[in-house]
Order: sequence, then C-alpha cells, then structure tokens
Amino acid sequence: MTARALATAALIAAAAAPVHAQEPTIATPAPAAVINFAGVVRERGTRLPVAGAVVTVFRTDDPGGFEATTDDDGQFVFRDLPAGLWHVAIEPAGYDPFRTTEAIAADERVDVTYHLERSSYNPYDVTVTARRPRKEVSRTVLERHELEKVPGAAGDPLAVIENMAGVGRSQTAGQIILRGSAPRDTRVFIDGAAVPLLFHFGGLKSVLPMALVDRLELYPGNFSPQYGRAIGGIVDVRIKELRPPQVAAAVDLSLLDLGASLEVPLGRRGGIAIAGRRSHVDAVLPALLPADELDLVTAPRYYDGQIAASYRPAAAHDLRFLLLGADDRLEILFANPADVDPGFAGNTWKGATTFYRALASYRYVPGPRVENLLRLSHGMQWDAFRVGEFLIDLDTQSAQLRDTVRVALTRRLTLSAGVDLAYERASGLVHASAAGPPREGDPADDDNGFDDQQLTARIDGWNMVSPAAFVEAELEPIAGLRLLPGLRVDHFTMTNETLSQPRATARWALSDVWTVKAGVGAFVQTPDYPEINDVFGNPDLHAERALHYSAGLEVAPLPWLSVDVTGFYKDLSNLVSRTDAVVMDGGMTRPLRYDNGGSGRVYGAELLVRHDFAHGLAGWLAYTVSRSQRRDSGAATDRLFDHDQPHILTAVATYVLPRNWQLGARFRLVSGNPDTPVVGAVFDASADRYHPIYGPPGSERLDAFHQLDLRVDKRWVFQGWMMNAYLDVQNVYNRANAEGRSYNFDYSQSKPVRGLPILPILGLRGEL
Amino acid sequence: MSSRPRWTLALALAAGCADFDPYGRLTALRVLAVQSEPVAPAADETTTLTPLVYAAPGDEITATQWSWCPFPGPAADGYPCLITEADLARLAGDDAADIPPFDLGTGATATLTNTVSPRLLDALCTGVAGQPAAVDCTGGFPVQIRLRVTTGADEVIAVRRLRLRRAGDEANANPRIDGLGARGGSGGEQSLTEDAAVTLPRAVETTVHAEVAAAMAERYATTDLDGQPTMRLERLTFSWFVESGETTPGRTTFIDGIEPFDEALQVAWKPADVADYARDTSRLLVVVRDDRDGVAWRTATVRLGGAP
Repeated sequence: MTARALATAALIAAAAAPVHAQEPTIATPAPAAVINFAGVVRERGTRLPVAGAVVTVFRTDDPGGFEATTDDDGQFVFRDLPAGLWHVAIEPAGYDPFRTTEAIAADERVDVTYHLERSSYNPYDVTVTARRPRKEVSRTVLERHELEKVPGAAGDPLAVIENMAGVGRSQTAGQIILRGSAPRDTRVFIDGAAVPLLFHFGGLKSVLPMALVDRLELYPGNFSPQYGRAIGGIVDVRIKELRPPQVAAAVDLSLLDLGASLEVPLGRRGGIAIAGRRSHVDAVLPALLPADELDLVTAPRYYDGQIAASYRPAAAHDLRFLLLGADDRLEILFANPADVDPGFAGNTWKGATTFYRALASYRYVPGPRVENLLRLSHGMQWDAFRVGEFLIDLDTQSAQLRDTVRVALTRRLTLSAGVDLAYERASGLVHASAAGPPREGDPADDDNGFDDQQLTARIDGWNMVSPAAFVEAELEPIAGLRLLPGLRVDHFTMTNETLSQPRATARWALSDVWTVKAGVGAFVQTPDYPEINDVFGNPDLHAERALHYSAGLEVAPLPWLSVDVTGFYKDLSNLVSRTDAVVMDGGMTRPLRYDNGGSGRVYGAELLVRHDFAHGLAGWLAYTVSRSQRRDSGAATDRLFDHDQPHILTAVATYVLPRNWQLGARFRLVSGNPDTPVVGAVFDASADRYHPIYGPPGSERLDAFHQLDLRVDKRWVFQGWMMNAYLDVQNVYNRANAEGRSYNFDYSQSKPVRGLPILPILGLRGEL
Repeated sequence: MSSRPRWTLALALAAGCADFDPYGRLTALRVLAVQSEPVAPAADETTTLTPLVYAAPGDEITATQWSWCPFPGPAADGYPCLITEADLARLAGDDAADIPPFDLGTGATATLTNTVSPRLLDALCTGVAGQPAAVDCTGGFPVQIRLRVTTGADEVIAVRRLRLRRAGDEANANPRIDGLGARGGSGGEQSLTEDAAVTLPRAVETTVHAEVAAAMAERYATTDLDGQPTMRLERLTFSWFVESGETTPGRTTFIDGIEPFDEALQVAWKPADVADYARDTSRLLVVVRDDRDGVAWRTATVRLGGAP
C-alpha cells in the first residue's frame, strides 16, 4: 500500500486530521501553526518546478500521515509536524517514484529541494494540441525533434532535407535539388524571409543552429502564391517561439565547431535567446595539408551568431525578432602557384564572406476570423574573393517586406491576400572570367583555369526592386473538399516584366483515412545577376518560367502511420542557357553569352511512408522515381539534367531505448548522376594545358550510390543539468561511392573520384 | 554577382593528382610548345612557326599538318573552325584575295604571312554582320594555329593563339634561355647540353637551373582594373620536362612583386631508379612562356648514374 493510500485511509478512519493544528474549543486564541518542513520539488536535469505533485509524509510506526500539493513554483509546506523521523514520498505521473527520509527536530525548520527524474526524456513525447488544416498538394514538415537526430546529418537541420521524398542527392552539401530542379531554382526562407547564405563555405554547415529551429517546411512544388521568385521549390525554416520557463544555457561541441546558447525569459510572455558558434577545423587542417606546397594563412574558419526574441504582450499580439550573421574566411598561400595552375597570376587564394540578416514579424489576431502577419527583413552581405588576378568585391544590401491578411468571410470561405516587396542593391568590382561561374549543364571538367578572356565590371549601385501581390481563396463547398485558387503577380525591374501566375490546389478528404489532392500552377524567377549583367551576361534576358502539375493520394490508416503518393510533372521554359551567338550592338559585335532558349521537363512520382513515434520507433521511407531533362539553346536534342536521379530511396529510423539511449539509422540508395564522357583532348600551347573534348552530354552514368549511416545518442541527467553525447558514423560499411572522374593531364587516363570514407563524428551537448 | 569561389581548386589539389604520371614526365608523343617568330606579325610580316615535339625513343614522326583559323570554336568540341574559307571570303568582300589559305602545309615548321588587310582586321575587331564570334583584339587580331603530329601509333593535336598585329599594337619578343645547368653533388656546377656529358645520380635530388636574363621579363603597356593605362612586367612561367623521374615543382613562375625571379629558374630533379626507368640517359626540356604569347625552350640530355 502506498503512502498516499495510507494517508487517505487515515483521513477516512480519523475523519481527516487536518494538516493544520485544530483550533481550541476554549475562548483563548490558539497558537499560530508553524511551518517546520518546507521544500521545492524540481525536475532533475532541467530544474523546472514540478507543479501539482502530491508530497506525502508518514512514519513507519504510525498509520497516519499528511499530504501537501506543490504549487506552480513547485513549493510545498507542512506545519507543526511532530519531531521525529518522517518518510517522504512523491510519485507524480510521468516521473520515477521519489522516496527519502527527513528528521524533524523540535523548534527547528527543515527546508529541502527534491529533484525528480522523468520516466523518459524522449523528445518524441510532444503534445500536439491541434493540427493545422492541410492546404497544399505537397508539404512535408519536420519538427525539431525529428531534425536533430537524423543519422548522417550531424545535427544540421538543413542537411536533413535530402532525406525526404522528391529531394535529390547532391554531391555538395548545401545544394537542394527538389523534383529535378536545379539548386538555384529553390528558395530557402527563414520565417518567410529570404536568406542569401545558408551554408558556411558553400556547404560545410548551415548558418542556423538547431537550437533555434522549431520546424522545417518543405514544398517541392505547387506551393502557395505567398511564395514566389522560384520555379523549383521552397524550404521555410521556422524559428521557435521563445518562452523559456527559466534561464537555460547549452554548449555544443562537435568535430566541426563549438557553440553556446543562452535563453532568458521575458516575464511570462516571452523570451530572448543568444547563440553563437565558431569552427575549429582550422586548428586541425594545417597539420593535414602539405606545408611545403601551401601555407594556410587563414585556415577555413567560420563564425555565426544569432539573437532571437519573442514577446506576446497580449493574446492577440505576437512579436518576434531574429538577427543572424555569419563570417567565413579562408586564405591560402601557395609555394608554387604555377604548379596549381599555369595561368595563376598570383600566389594567394583569399575568400571572405560576411553577412547579417535582421527579421522582425508581428502577428495580430484580433479575433477568430481575422489574422494579419507582417514581416520585415533587412540585411547586408560583403563578399571579397581574390585568386590571382580574379577578383570579386561586392557589397549587397537587401530588404523585404511581406504582409499577409487572412479573413474568414464565412464558414466555408477564407480569403488571404498580401504583398511581398523585395529590394536589392549591389555595388563593387568584379574582374573574372568571361565564361562566368559554372552552370548546370557545363561539363564538370570544362575549366579553362585562368586563361579565359577576363572582363571587368564596376557595379555602382545596381538596384533591383521586385514588388509582388498575391491572393488566395480557401473554399470548402462541401465538407472535406477544399479548393484553393490563387493568383500571384510579380513585377521585376531586372527584366522589366510583370508576370501573372495563377495557381490552384484541391484537397478532398474522402474520409478520416483517405484524401485525394491535385494542383496546377505557374511559377517564375529572374535570371541570376551574372547572367544579366551587361559586361558578363545579356541584359536583355527574361524571367524563367515553369508550370507545375501534381496529383496524389494520402492515406492515414493508423494514427501514427501515413502514406503519401504524389505524381508530378513540370514544364520548364525560357530557361537561361549559354549561347555562342553574337549580336550587333551599336555597330559592334558582342557575344550574347546567354539567352532564354533553354527548356526542360521533369516527371515522376514520390512515395513517403511516415511512422510517427509509436512503440519506441519513428522514421520514414521515401522513394522517388523521376526523369529530369533539359534542352539547351540551339540544341537539337534533350539531355539529362546534371542531377537526374531516376531512383532515390531513403529509409530513416530512430528507436528510443530505456535509460535515455536512442539509436538511429539511415540507408540511401540513389542512381548515379549522369556523366559526360571525355573522348579526346587538345593541347593548348598558349596556356600550357590540355582541354578535353566531350562526347554527348550526360550520355554515361556514374555507379549507383548507397550508404548506411548510424547514430547513437545517450543522455545523462544530473541534478541541475543534462549532458547529451552522440556518435554519428557516416558510411558505416565504407562504400567507395563514385562522385565523378578525375583525369590525368592529357585526359588519356581517368579514375573515379570517391566520396568520403567512413566518418565518425562525435558530439557533446551540455544543457543547463 | 555570384560569389561562389573556385573551391573546386582545393579539391583538385587533393583529388585526382595522385597515381597519375606528373605533367612534366615525358613518356609518349607530345607537343610541348609552339613558337612564333616574330611573336605577333605586323602587316605583311612573316612569322615562322616552330614546334617543340617530344617523341619517345623508337617513335618516328610520320606526318605533320599545319593550319590556321580566324574563328575557332569551343574547346569542348575540339576547337572546330567556325568559318570556312569561302565564308570568310564572302565576309571579307574586296579584301578576300589577301587572306592566306588556312592550310599551312606539312613541314616540320610553317610560316604565316600577315597579308590580311588592316581594314579587314579592323572591321572584324569591331564586328561584321555574319561573323561567327566576337573577338578581343587587345594586342592584335587573334587567330588560332593548329598543328597535328602523327607517329605510327599516336597522334596529338595542338593549338596556339597567334595575334595579327595592327597599327598601334605593341610588339613582343620571345624570351630566351641561354643555358641549362646542374648544381650540387660531387660535380659542382655543371653545364647541361645535348651531348650527355654530365652524369647525375638516380633517386637523389639534384638542383637544375635555367640561365635566363632578368631582362627577358619585358615591361609593357596595359590597363589596370579601372581601365587606366599602366606599365607591367611580364610574368614568366617555366615548365620543366624530364624523361626520368620528376622535378619539384613541375612549373615555376616569376611574378613581379610576388614570386622572385631567381626562384623561378631552378627546380629539384630526382631521376628514377633503374627499376622504374631502365635507360641510362634522360632528356631535360625547359619551356619558358611570357604572358603575351612569347615562348622559348632549351633542351639537354644527361647520363644517369647509379643510386648512391
């Protein structure tokens, strides 16, 4: 029989002797009850107060006892407990039973703090109060607890994207390939604001730490009119609302960097968080590289920092702020620059990228039928890159304003409308190859090094203004059927175009289990600045366009199991493509370099089977079958997209074990990327190098990629803090995946370039 | 402007270089350089085209074919000529008769006389309707020389740029290597020539150097990044070729204010041991290029002794 039952029995048997001393029956006033035993009950590891826990005290030789219930601060009191040895028992739901013994002395007060351990610190034990009604054909949401422990991602939230259906495998981290679209066709937002730089050093690690992420939303196609300026897909990273119950801090140490974060409550209405990271690969790399060939003047190192704040002065008002910034630097001094490249007119390779972005949002919900969300962002980016005579020195300022109002006109009709204004201003100097940066479709080895014609562009305040407006209706003519017609109109000063993009989505929940869905829509995006610059590109280019079609079926046979099958087709037109054509301009011939003569199509299907957390297991199986083709300007036939991957299979599973252990696995099987064969070479006696001659583009294919990653997590819970350790082993069976081919100097011999071998990454996190 | 840097260069440093023969090791038919003297012929001036061809012992050169093209196509397609002689003649109109034929013959050397009308060159530099490509005429109108060399078992194709100098274009002189030498070991300073009089040890690094006067790096007029006229000293790049072993580094360079001149003139040569290279002599060929199409070379043969 538990102490609680004993106390209850005593209450019933003795007509409930109160905790307080009984009032005397005589007229003289009774002495006040004195607290002689008090305490606070906290959760072990987090130090959070445990409210509503019943604290029972009893003695071995006495069937009676007393109870007290902890308040919101976890505090309890007992008055006038007789002196002696008392047993204390606390057994709230969700916690391991707590027992101890206290000695109460006469005329003395005992104050204690008890720490209760949760039965489980499983991050999957989250409470979902309400699910947002689905509007999209394809939208995948990954919550933070799903993001942070995916094997192979080493805790990087954006690296997890590649494991979802419809997402191609990129050889370089940071390149997001959605349904056969080029990485430049996909936009990544943070809380709805475009961010220019997502990864350090173009893919090493994302600039946003997991500590601030609430969830990640992935739209591989047919996305809402509120998103635009992209013909591929959308990734929107949502920052968590900050309302920490108390001050909390954490330190993260991994193979790549060291980070720290601090969260402080702003009363009970909000909170503020500060976080920062610094890489330490620069401390290790110099020891691994040949010092007689190069000197790492500045080994690759990055910093990033974030300040986030949330505040709700009243229920209708939700204010948020995010400031994030990053700085990447690398400088290499070459002992023999001509050995690196015969055209290298210098001996240093220096790169530095710095940026900051400030985002503010205000959500106003005055009532159940109206909502307004205003978002403002501003940022600067400084790029300085120098290799020999090549120079890029650019300062870019950008700003964005988005406002969306949503009104439920009737029970069956909701209207959303908004504006999306983007502004960018660039200035600086570029001295670079006339060929411009590498593009999708360029052969991988087609690099004339430093011998291309070099051009100089001085950019004095180039401005780009892109206002847009959008409207979307949500109709529910009959129960379960949701129709969402919408329209987005973009104006681009860059191309002097105003483009309308009608879009429509339909979802029909046939039952609680079955839903059918379909969508169609038009999408546009501007060329990249180098393509339209009047020195390096063609200033007469137009926006690229795409039409998306998709249809599918969702099945949820069990509360924790869902299946999503979606077929898709994309028609791409007006794609910017290289051209060798020349035009007469002002009486002079100039190369056109680019035109809008490219086109393409993508078609396929995705399957996503998700097992939400149940029976200790969570995970998903994603399979995509697709074909992605392009036709370059002037080409007679189609070619395969650089990352055409007809089959992509990813299986991710996480199993929660007792004693705060967690195991995870990820297996991937992906078709090899298309490869363009080298069929010969010509010696350029001016440049002292060989140039490869290529066969039909994409006419060969690399070997299939497959890899297994494993991860084990362990959490130790101490009285006032917790420590988490993980071991993430990538490529467990050391598969030598082919990522390309390398050639000897005259291209007469080649060998495959292998990806990373088995790579263990150890990480530690302390939470206070 | 995209700020994507050439991080691939870093990969190239680490990725495919191991296990392949180094660039400077000669094992099969190769064209190492093509010299034009004068470097850029002025109007009515004749330039002589001379190749530096390496053929492995026992390989005989069976054929040589020279040609030129005013509008070469992309490298990825093998530099096809984008215009036929007939189309060029139509473009040239009245100036067509002065255009030299594209075929420059089959000799060991070739010549090209710049008889193209200066008026035509100016027009092509500015742009004529129908011409297949725009050109950068800094230093002269660029044409492409093409050389095909064939042995019994092999064939190589080499191209190089040749500028047809116009009025006002500055002339350039080919650099010159006055001699080659070896330094160190018991022999001290030794001059290297084609008579194989010098013996160098195998599997041991010997410093070899080129004798080049500092004046070979000429000062010339150019423009800076702001388009303002300035004077600059030529960059000289040396490529070192050997039949046995390899040199460290394989290329050296002089860049005014960045890479010292004296350091560009020497490398360490480590001939292979007998197991990897059985012959008892090895050739050494050094090619120097400036950054205005000037080129020269010097060759030598050394005897290889035993490993110490």
